[in-house]
Amino acid sequence: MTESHDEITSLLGAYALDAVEVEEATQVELHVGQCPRCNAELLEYQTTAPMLGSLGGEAPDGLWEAVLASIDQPSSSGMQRSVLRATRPTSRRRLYAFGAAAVAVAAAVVLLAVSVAGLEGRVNHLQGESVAQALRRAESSALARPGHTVVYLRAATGATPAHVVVANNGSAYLVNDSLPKLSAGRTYQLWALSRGTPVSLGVLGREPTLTSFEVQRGMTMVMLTAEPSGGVPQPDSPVIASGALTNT
Amino acid sequence: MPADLRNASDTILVLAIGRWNQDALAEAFRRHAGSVFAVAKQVLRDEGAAREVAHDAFVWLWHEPDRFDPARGSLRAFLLNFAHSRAIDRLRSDRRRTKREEEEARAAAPMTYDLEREVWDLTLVTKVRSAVDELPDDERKAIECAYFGGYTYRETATLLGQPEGTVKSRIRSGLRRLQTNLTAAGLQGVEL
Repeated sequence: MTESHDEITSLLGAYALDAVEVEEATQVELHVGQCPRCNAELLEYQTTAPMLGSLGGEAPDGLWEAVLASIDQPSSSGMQRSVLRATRPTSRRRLYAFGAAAVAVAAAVVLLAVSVAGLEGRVNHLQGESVAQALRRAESSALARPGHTVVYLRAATGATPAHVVVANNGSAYLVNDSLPKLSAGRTYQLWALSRGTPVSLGVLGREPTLTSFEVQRGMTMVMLTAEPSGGVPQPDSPVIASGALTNT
Repeated sequence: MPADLRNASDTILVLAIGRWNQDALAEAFRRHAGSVFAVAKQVLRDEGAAREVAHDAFVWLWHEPDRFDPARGSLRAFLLNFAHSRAIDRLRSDRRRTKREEEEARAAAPMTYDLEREVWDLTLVTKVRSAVDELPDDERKAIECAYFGGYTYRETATLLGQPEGTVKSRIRSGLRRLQTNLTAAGLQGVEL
C-alpha cells in the first residue's frame, strides 16, 4: 500500500525512534529518498533522538578486548585499506608551458604530506559548508572510503585555497576552501596536466563550492585559473593554485 | 595512544579507522562505548545482551567505516542509532519468541528513567534530562515508551491507552520540542 505524503510525514518521528513496523519503515525510506522536505525533517529527528541515549557511564570490563579479538587485522585478512598517503613534490618541468607566471606558482606547488591531525581542520570546515547535498555526501563518502588521497592546491603565497579529494575509483571532488569570488565576466576553470598537456576539467563559475570530476590515467597535476566567462580551450592566465596528483 | 588521535575529530577517527588504525578505533571506543553500552542496556535491561550490542557496534564501525556520513550527524549519534536499532530488533525478536508481549510490555514499560544512575558526563546528562523533563507529560511518556521501551507507536498507543494517531503526533511534536529545548540548553544533536 502506498501511503500519502501526510501519512508518511506523521510517521517520521516514530521512525527516528525505531518505533514503526517494518513495512512502515520501508515506506518512510522510499519516501524520504524522493522528498527533500521530509528528508530534512527526518534528519532533524535523527540528530535529536540519540540525545535521549546520552546516558553516559563506563563500558564494561573486557568489552574492548572482545572487540579487539573480533576485528580483522590487515595482516591476517590480506585486505588493504590504504591511507591519506604522504607524498612528495613532483617534477614541475611540465608547467613551464604555462609561462613565467605559471612557473612562479609551480615553484610553490607542494603536495602536502597529509597527516591526520593536519586534515582535521579541513574536514571540520567541510562539515560547515553549505553546498549541494548530493555532491557533499559523495565527497564525504569518498573521504571515508579507503584508498583515497587528498591534494591541497597551493598558491604562490603558500595559501591553500582549495583541495581535491580523489577516491580510489578515480572520482574526484574539488572543494573550495577560500577561493575569492571573481568579478563579473570571469570564471574559475579547473585543469589537469595530462602527459604534459593541460586539459580542461570544467568551468566552475565565479564562486565554486564543490565540483566533481574524474581523474584519468596520466594526469599528474590539477590547476586552477581564472578565465573569461565560458572558459577557454587552453589556459592563458596565471595559475592560481595547483597540486600534484599521485599514482595516476 | 598517539596524541593527535586524542585530539582528533570524530571524522578524522573514522578516516583513520578506514586505514585499519586500531588506535583510532580505541579512541572512538574510549569516547563513546560507555553511552553505546548504556543505551543498549537501557533498552534490553540485560547486561550480557547490551555487551553484545556494544561489541557489534564497534566491530561494525571497524568493518564499514564508510557508513558514517558526517553530514548526517556525529559519530556518537551514529553509534547510538546503531545500538538502539540493534537493541530494539533484539528486544522485539525476544518478545515474539517468548509470546509474552503484552505481559512483558506492561511490566517493563518505562514511564520514567533514571538518567543520573550512570552519569558519565554530568553536564550533558543534566541538560538532556532537563530538556526531557520540560516536555509535556504526554509527549515525554510517548517518547520514553518508544525509545527506551522499544515499543512501536502502535504498541505505545495500546500501553498508554491513546489513539495511534495521537501517539504519532506526540512523538513528532515531542521530538521537535526536545530539539528546541536542547538547542536552548546549548546542545545540538550533531555535537553529541
